[in-house]
Amino acid sequence: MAYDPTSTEGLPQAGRARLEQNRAGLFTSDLSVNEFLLVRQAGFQPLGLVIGSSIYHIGIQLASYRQNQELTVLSQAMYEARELAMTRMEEEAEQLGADGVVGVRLDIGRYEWGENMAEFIAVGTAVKHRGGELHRAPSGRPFTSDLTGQEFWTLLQTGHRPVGMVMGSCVYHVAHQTMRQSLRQTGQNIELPNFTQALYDARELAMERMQAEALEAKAEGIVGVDIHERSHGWGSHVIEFFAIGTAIIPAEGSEDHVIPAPQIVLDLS
Amino acid sequence: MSFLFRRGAAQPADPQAQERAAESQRRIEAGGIPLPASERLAALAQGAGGAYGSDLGVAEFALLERLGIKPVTLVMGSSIYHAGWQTGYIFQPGEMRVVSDAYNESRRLALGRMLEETQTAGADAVVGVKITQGAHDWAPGAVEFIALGTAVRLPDALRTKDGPVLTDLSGQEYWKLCASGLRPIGIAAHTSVHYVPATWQTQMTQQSGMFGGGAAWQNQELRDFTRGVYAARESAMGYLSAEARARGGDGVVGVKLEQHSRGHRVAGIGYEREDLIVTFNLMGTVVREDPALAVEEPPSALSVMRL
Repeated sequence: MAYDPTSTEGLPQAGRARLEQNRAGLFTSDLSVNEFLLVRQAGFQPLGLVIGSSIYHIGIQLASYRQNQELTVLSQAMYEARELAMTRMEEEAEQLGADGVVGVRLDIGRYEWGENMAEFIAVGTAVKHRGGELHRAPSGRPFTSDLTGQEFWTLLQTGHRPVGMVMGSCVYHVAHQTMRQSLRQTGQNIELPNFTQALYDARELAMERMQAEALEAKAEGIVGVDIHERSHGWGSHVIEFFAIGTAIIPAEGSEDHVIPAPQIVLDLS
Repeated sequence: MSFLFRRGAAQPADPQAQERAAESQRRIEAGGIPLPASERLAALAQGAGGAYGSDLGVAEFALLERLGIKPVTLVMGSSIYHAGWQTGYIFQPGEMRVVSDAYNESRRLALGRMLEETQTAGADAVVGVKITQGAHDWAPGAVEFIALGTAVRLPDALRTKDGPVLTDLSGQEYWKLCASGLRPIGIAAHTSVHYVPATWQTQMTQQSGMFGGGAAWQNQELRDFTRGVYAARESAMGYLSAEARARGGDGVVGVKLEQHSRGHRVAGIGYEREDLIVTFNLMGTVVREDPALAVEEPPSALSVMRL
């Protein structure tokens, strides 16, 4: 889905009224008190909770029983639906005039009654810098980050700023072994090369896609990468690798930045 | 072992006990708390008893003691509420008001009772309010909310004239907000239940299946469900902001967003479809800017290395 800063797609009437209230000065935020105060101390004003969601029907995939392969229909579905949710969230942030969105959570809801259906939700708190410093991504879109308020504060202390969440997804079918293969392994210590290779391939594909996104966003690097390995009820031989992290760039004028030394404490609790 | 029930009252109760039970019943019907609870808390307010109850840990207790926040007692409020019938055409698109109202009314009663308990005990605020939803197999279709927290007495600087403040914050968080110039003023919460029917596009993906027509094969966004769920969530969040505004708040922190959905099968002659019933629960603490509260040196962040 192409990003359109003026779009309020999917946003119902009630949502417009809510964003109007946020613009008038009432903020809502799902940050905890500590996170909230740290984000404020970092010079940002929370504007409101922003959300994007998409309920998606996942198509039917054909696969061979004995072949390691990427399941492109499923990969595409998982990727596109997340992209839809994220883009809508960014568009809501744009409506509030935000610089970016912190503490983004990207969840997938599956329903037992709709096996081919999933809901993708992105939720975060839109923030704006009080001093009007530039914090948007190089592409002009609001930045997004899944860092907690604490991590966000620490990242800013290091002279970096987030540009956007980057992700890569790969749904992979791990080939079933033949009877002969299983028999040969009976009672032996032995690596299962086809399984190893399948998981390797899938993970590499997901990470490569995530890195490609970061390159496109002109990022210096990615922090807080998480690799999730889930099967989403597709059966034991179908696995999704999902890599997600926050791409960062050096903040303007931070060439001679010094990171303050941490204090050492003995924790009582 | 099994129970046997007798008809009528267990014992010929003495008239005084009967009178007290009737009085408790009257108070509950008026949205209040029963007599014994109110008497115990009133005694506490007058300094009787001496010992206090709290679910604070030792570290938290020590810190609160230093900040001048004193625990008084555990307070609770609960309400079991029967959800009525949605009249008219039950499953029309949009909010199922009767069900939403039952949740919201039950929560309002539970929080109101907690507030009354706090007032009776002479406390200024309740910290760490946890709201749980109960369900009992002996009361099908009923909604129960239970609110539990620790009532505290605040130091003079933090006290307000507007009566006790309920928050789901810990004592530390309460103090940190105040020290940064933000006064917690209460809990805002809302539940919305919406019905989202499946339109033609979704029905096609539900029906054609593996060997049927083409729709189920394609990846596609279900625009009707997406829109319906969006509307439900936005309406719940709209109520929450409106409540925060009405209480004179400048914002809501720590908003918790919970979502459940379930399918609802509709079958008729020649068609069958699966609609969606979605519930949103939202809760957060309303805060108001109050620069006078801010301490000279507000708590500042310090990077530490834990050993």
